[in-house]
Amino acid sequence: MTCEAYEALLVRHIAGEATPEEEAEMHRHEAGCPACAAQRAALDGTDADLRTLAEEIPPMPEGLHTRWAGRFAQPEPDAAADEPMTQRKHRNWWRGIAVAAALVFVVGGAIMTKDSLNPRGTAAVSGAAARKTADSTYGGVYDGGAPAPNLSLNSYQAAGGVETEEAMVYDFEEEIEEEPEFAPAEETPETGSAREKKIIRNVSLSMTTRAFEESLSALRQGCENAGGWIAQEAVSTNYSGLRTASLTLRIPAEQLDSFLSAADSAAQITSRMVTASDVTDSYYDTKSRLESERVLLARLQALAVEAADLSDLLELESKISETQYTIDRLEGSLRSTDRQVSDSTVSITLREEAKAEAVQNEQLSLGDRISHAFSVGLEWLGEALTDLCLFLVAALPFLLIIAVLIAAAVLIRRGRKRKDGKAKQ
Amino acid sequence: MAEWDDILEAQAGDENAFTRLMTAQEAFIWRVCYACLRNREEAEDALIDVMQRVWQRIGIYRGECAFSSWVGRVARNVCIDRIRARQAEKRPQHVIPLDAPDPDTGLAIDPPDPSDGPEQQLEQKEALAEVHSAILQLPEEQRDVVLCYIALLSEGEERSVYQRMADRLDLPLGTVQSRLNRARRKLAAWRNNSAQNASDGVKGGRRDDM
Repeated sequence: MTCEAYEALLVRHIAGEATPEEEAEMHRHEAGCPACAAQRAALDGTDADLRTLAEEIPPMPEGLHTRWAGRFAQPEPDAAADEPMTQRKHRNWWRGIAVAAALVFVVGGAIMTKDSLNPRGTAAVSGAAARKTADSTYGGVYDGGAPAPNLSLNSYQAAGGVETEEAMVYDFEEEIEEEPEFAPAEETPETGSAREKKIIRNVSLSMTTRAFEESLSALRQGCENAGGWIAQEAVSTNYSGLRTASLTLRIPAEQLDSFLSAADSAAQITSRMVTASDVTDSYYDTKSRLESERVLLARLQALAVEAADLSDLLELESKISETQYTIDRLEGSLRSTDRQVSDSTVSITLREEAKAEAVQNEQLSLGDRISHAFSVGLEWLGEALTDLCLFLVAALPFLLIIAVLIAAAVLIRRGRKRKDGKAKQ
Repeated sequence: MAEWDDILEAQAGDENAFTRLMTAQEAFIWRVCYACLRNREEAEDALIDVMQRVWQRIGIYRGECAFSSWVGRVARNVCIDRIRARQAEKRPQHVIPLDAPDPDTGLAIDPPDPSDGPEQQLEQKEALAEVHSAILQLPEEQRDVVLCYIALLSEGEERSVYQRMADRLDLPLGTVQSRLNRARRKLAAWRNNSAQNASDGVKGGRRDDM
């Protein structure tokens, strides 16, 4: 047997798939091949080492449990463990009924299509529940100059109902480290009038200036003073050398007015549009929908742990990942809205105007215009002559070569004529 | 299941529930920590760290995998962080006395069984230390599988160790087996190489010469 074949068998041996005949073959090869025998010895040695490492693990030291558990409260004796078996079976049975009831509510919520936002409405946990398009109230037309936000308000899907008293609402937000904007301080009851208004303000300005650099840096300075930042900046120059700057600024909403007055003094504002969209209703709709989804997720996960049937488990798993996806989407929506509420978008187009050269033809007299035309004509002539000279200078090398060739040709001809002439004499 | 209730309660802040929950896990965590660190004091400190970290992060657990495998992952991360921290502190040494930190892992390894003769003790201790540091240098997936294997091998349970590993690591049984086998082949090849180096007269295996 070759060493390659031995290697292949060794792989099977490691996987525990080698037949007794193959094992015997391997032993025979090892007897004659020290290299392969060494491989085998190394493998056996490794396995023995792993076993030794496992065996040398001492039992958990006394007192270690107390050391860590003592930092947390002492556990009460587990009441459930003391129950006799029959009572525990009873509890499981009741739990099964509760689970079935929860499933019924979930399915019922899905069937229901009532879009009731009234928290005193029907008792259902809405998950895959009724969908409706939220009607958000727009304060104005959304300016086309602003960058397209990720906010698709029309696709907000409001919850069809609200949790009941039976639902356990776990305040997960306390544990999540990366979402400070959902701190409990902002949590308000849906019925309360203590809801913060969520208004997105955006501004679009067209400005002109004769001092381009100064205006641009004044705008930048105003932005910095207001605590904002530049999201996008582009400067272009047109064929007549005049520059245009397009700026997209994000300015904290509270500073918006002071920034606008700063902008007013930076350049001349030719047009201005301010829009304000009140997204409060759809924002809180989304928020309550998010809560329902979170409750649903906890429910589904609890069910998944209990599920015995494989097909049930698969269905639950797929619903769980749907719900998680919905949660992520809703959270992203809320975050995006928060960002836009807290920082307004200001789009500025700054155009440079040419410096004032008062060439006002209508005011000039005929005589002036004739002399002006004459001087223009002289200018043209001068330019034409200059161009001609330059052309000649540029062409000089070629002309020289041509001249040399012509001279040579003429000389040769003369030489021939003389020869002919002499020959004739 | 009582465990899920305890998890929910612990997430809500109930320390008693947390203690109940983790008492069931502590034996496995201890074995994993010792298998990684091979030092009693370090393993004790690591276990306490693991408990703290699980308490801090239990809110993030969403049931996407079995709780025991989530806890196992936290334990492994704590141990690896400890090893890295020790490595960052290590100083180079030319002579390796018996109770000095291992230059590869930066750990001082427990003294061997006193019933062996002194030469055997030294050889055995060095051999095991080398294997252990080789394990820690395996690619992450294989390393995790091997450490889990070592930790579970000493448990005395009826279910096969592969099935228990599959539960703990939250992996399919086939994946567990193939990764473990690949790791065994790698360790065997490494062992073969260092044995060859030793027999060729090269002073391999003595890390201070590298």
